[in-house]
Amino acid sequence: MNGTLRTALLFFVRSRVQRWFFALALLSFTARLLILRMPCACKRETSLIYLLSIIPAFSFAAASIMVSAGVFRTISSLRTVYLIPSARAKLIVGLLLAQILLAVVVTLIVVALGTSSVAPPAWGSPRGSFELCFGTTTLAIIAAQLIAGPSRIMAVVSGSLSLLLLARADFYSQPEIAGVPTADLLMIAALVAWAGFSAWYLTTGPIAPASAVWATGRALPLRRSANPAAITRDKALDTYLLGQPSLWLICRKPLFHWCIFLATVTVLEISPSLFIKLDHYPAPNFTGLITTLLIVAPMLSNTVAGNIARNSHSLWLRSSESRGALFLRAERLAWRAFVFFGVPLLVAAATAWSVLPHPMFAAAYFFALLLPIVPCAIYCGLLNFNRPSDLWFFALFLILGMGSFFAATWDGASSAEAICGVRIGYWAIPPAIAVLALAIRWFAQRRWRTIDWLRFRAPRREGATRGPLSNN
Amino acid sequence: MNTPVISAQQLGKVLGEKSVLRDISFDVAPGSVVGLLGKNGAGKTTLLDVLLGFSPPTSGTATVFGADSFAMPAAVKQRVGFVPQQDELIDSLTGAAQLALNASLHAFWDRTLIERLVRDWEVPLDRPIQVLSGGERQKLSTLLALGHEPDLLVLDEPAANLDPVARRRFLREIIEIAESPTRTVLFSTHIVADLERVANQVWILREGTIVWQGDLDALKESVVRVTIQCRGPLPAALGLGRVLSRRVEERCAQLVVTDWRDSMQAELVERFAAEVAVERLGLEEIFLEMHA
Repeated sequence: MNGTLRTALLFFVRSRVQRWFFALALLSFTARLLILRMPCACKRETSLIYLLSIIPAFSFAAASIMVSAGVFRTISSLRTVYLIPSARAKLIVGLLLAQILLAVVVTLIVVALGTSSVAPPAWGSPRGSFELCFGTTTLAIIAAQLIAGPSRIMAVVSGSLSLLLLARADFYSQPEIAGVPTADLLMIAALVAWAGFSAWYLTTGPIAPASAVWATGRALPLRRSANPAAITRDKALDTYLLGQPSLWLICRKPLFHWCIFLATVTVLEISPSLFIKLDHYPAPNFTGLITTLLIVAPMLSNTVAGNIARNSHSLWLRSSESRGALFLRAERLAWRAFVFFGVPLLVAAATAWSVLPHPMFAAAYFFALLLPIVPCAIYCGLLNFNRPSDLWFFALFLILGMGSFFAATWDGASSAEAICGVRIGYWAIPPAIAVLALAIRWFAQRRWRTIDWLRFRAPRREGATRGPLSNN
Repeated sequence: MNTPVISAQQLGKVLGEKSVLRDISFDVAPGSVVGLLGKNGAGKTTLLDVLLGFSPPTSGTATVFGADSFAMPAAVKQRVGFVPQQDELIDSLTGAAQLALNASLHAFWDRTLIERLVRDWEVPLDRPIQVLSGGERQKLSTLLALGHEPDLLVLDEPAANLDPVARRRFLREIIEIAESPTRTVLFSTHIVADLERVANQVWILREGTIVWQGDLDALKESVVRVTIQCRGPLPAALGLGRVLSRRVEERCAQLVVTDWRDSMQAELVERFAAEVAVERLGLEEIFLEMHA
């Protein structure tokens, strides 16, 4: 039982960033509760403290969604499953416990904050809140695992879907189906789904995704190789830095995942009106979709830059270039990658924005925030020599980017002195982020000049050491 | 005197709170074949990383062809070939494409040599690297380091993944490469037999310190196992210089000593009126005694 509980907790406290967010969320939440008990003339919804109390909790949740997928994938690996007895059982029960913990925390927050501002009926009761949260997240995560196999990006999708479903299930579903509250049915459906998934997960052989298209690169046939006759020195250096002969080979998988996500969200936006016959059902709103499309550009830029940083080691002796020159080359390549897929994404988002049947709230401000975040993403990636995911950028993105956006939209709506619906003061934040990007670039350049690759050496591959005495 | 190919003076490296390398000094002359021997965690790979400029030393200096290794200029890098312990091949390429990629990075690339080695070592160039076995990857990785005919070849555990036949071929090739009086080879290994077959110099690394550096033959000459059988009780101190291991019973002692001179046998016989037997040790036994 201890092992299972530890596995469940691992999803939430594996990384340092998660633990920091958790501590911050706890602090801000406590502060929020204390302030609520003090007499205050300001409106709760427009209070900055209210907003500040939400951001760390949101960041903690988002970081946990990302990290938990990594944990799940690691524990699901064949070696772990075969070497550690009952690893799968621990993992599957841990998964359930994690959802229960999450639902308990959300319920406590709902109860502590009061329910006057959360209109939907199920949120009005602790039981309804718990059931909705547990039901939607468990169903979404199990669906994602079945479709995708243990995959980092799909867990992000499942998390985002859960958030959407949480709102949708309560807002638009019937309060009761055949005399049973919808939240109760959702809970039962989640438990049944979990039991079925557990039975399959514990008895199946190697865990493989349902569809081969989700398989990792190793299982895919080689699509393209560099043509030996047509390799220039620059091309060779770029290939070593990227770890692939072309940018497309790096970007296709995350882009494909994001496309699936966008398609899913679009279907979610459109489909309920087809089968939920409620008078108050509103027209589809694609603001979230466009916003997500815009977020892909910095996220993917960060991923590619991180790849480049991790591959730089192999060029130190081969390239004949100094550390400083290597940084400049890496920087150029990262920007080229952004132009290759980031700019088309931004253009696509802007085009979609212009043809939307409804206004997109504070879109200009979102764009203005996003543009300086792109260089932050690139230079944070170039600083990331040792990890596949860059939680520092993720934290920065959430706090600075999303935090500023939420603060500005929250605050700006009630103000007359606003540009594009956002109070003038908030327009100082994008240039400040640009200055921060320059600072990160300076730091990255400095780090590359003195980089100690030994500290970021990849774990040694198994089988590299055999013989009477092992290697060091 | 020639400039040493590699030189280190009081080299030290601290990672976190652990001192991985301590006070290491040496010069490697051109034409040497140096085998670096050490057990797990001794610091072999760290030493090679510092010597090749992947990592700055915490103290002391390291130079390659007279240049600071951490700021190695392009001309020096072109003279170095390195086979890392964990290969840096690109999985989605074929072996041929990977070789072509590497060739484009060097001003000179000996295609004839590479073609011959590909044939001799039976490296499948037409298959994607991701499907190659560990040994095939290691061979390909070694080819990448040989194509530009480096003056200094550094190999980190080069034969660890090779089968006995491939290892023998590979070592023969290393011996051929090392026959050039200007070419220097430095390799780390945990396979003592490989080192005995190839190296003319040996460094033994223990807990970040070089406990022996010098000619392989000199090492074998100087380390012996001495068995003393005495009629009376043996004194606590036998005055035998540096002792690697000692097993003393009342009238019998067995010691492994370094810095042995043949004249010492007669001295012992005279001092203790004892029977003294001296046994030469193989490199593997010496290594084990040093780590006992």
